[in-house]
Amino acid sequence: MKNSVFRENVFPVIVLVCICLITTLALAGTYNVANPKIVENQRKEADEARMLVLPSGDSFTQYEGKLSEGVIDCYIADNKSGMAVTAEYKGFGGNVEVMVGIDAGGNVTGVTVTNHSETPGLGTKAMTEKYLSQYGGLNQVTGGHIKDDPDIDAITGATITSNAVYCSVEEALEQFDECGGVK
Amino acid sequence: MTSILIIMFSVILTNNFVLSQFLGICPFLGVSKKLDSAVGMGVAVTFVMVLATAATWPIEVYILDRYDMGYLQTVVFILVIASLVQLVEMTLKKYMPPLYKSLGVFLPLITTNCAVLGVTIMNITDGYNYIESLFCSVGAGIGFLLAMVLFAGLREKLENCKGIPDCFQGVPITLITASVLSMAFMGFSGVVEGIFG
Amino acid sequence: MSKLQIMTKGIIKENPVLVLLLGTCPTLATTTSAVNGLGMGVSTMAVLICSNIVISLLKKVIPGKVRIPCYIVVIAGFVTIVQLLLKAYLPALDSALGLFIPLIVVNCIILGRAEMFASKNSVIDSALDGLGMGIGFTLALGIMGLIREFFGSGTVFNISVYAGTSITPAGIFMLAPGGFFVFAILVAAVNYFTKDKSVRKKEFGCKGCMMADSCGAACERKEADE
Repeated sequence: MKNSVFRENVFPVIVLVCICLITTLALAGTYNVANPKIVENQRKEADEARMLVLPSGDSFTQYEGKLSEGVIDCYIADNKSGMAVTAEYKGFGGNVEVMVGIDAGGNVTGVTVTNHSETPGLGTKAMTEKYLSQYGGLNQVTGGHIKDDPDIDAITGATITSNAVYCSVEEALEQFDECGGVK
Repeated sequence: MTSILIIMFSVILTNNFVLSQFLGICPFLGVSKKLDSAVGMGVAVTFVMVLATAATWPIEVYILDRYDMGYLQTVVFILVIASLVQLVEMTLKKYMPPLYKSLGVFLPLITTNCAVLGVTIMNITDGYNYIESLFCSVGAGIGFLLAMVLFAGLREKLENCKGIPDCFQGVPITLITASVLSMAFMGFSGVVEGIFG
Repeated sequence: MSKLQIMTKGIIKENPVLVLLLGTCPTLATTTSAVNGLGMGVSTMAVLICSNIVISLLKKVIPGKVRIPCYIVVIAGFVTIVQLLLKAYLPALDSALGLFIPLIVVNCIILGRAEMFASKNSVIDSALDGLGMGIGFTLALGIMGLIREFFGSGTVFNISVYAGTSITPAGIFMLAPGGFFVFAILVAAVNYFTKDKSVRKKEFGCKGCMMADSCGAACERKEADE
């Protein structure tokens, strides 16, 4: 009787727990092997992305000081030619993450959208190279909402996305001031 | 508040789980033959989605992320969902037999429904907070229900169709119908931005 | 059944996607290009072979009562390993497939084969079964990806084929309706060519699904109630 209780109830639990433990161990092992590679991939990818917005940069070092509101990270080019700031602002399907390149003189050198969940074919219209190029050379955007800015056009029907990009650029430029220029 | 409304609208209409993100296709095609079973399945999925999100979000944020064990996400989430489904089934059976009678039959199917695992993982990768995650799950469930009900209605009409080419009978014509329905849902793109834009 | 038959049945006669109609979600979602489709197919195949081998090895140890949770843990483990390896060595593919990598766990093909085949057969047979089913799945996804890529973005394996012509690719093939449409055409084509040879699938099948028993029973019970 005792034996059958064991077989019926305890044994299955032991097997399941063992399988879970072995799986966890195997995963932890794989993770330890793969993780350095994953981190390196992400770093390389991030450096390449930063060079897209700041072509004069080569390698980048993270800025350790205070980050202004909405800014996720800020990297300063090792050759002091400028900085690449990633900032986010609420878009239509979630936060829109934008990377902005700013040269040593405080002018925008390039803008890319690094992460978003906007509607393909509509919100993504506010992410084309052509659309984003209108930010090039600006050194300030007159705050608030994209509708109030005469210099920057919003995409019709994708105002929320356009505004998310706009406000992210504004946040990035604030970060430039926060850092006190490229130092 | 607006952000919650935007999340809900987009997940119900523009980014409908079934018709634009291809999550939960199996039950969408398999259980949509009759209207009442389609409704039952939709409600059960919504229920489990919300419960699963309520359970997995804190686990991810307070346990896995904190102790740097993000790689266990898939294993943990699927186990949590499987046990939740079991628990719900047992609870309903014991305490709410009428509800069990109408929804219970769909519960075992839900463990392997990728929409449930999908919504829990999506809430984490999209960086929603707890409230947003819960509403996103409600929206995803409603979107699933909506797609199921619409499709069940279409399929009941399809039953009476004559003259479908031989090799298209059955599954292929059902898929073509799904294609047309998802094309109709593409019409919603922009509607939400129009409201909140 | 000979070893060769075990392997080849998954490729055409019991093709998991086009004949058994399993794993429809990744089939529709990841086939926006041939490379993505093949990548998804190969990832799934890796998980399928590994989980089939392990489950076949453990078939005497795993008690019937907790077999489904055990299978799920084993499968989820292999899925995560594949996910980590993709992230480390093929980051581009990983970001293209995104959410659908972890969702391999709930692909009915894998649980279905674990329940229907690996838990009853020898290790070698299970591995061959996984290989055959995996090849069938990969082929179906590759073909579908190729078709959608060709019409939808005018490329084949990322090489432009419309260059120099005035044809604009029909972008809708890359979107959801195009996915359903191409899948419908492929299933219809398989129906047409195998008219007399194989059992025609009239309905979406639970046959290979691990929930087949409980689900079928549930549906019957529901109908009996009415």
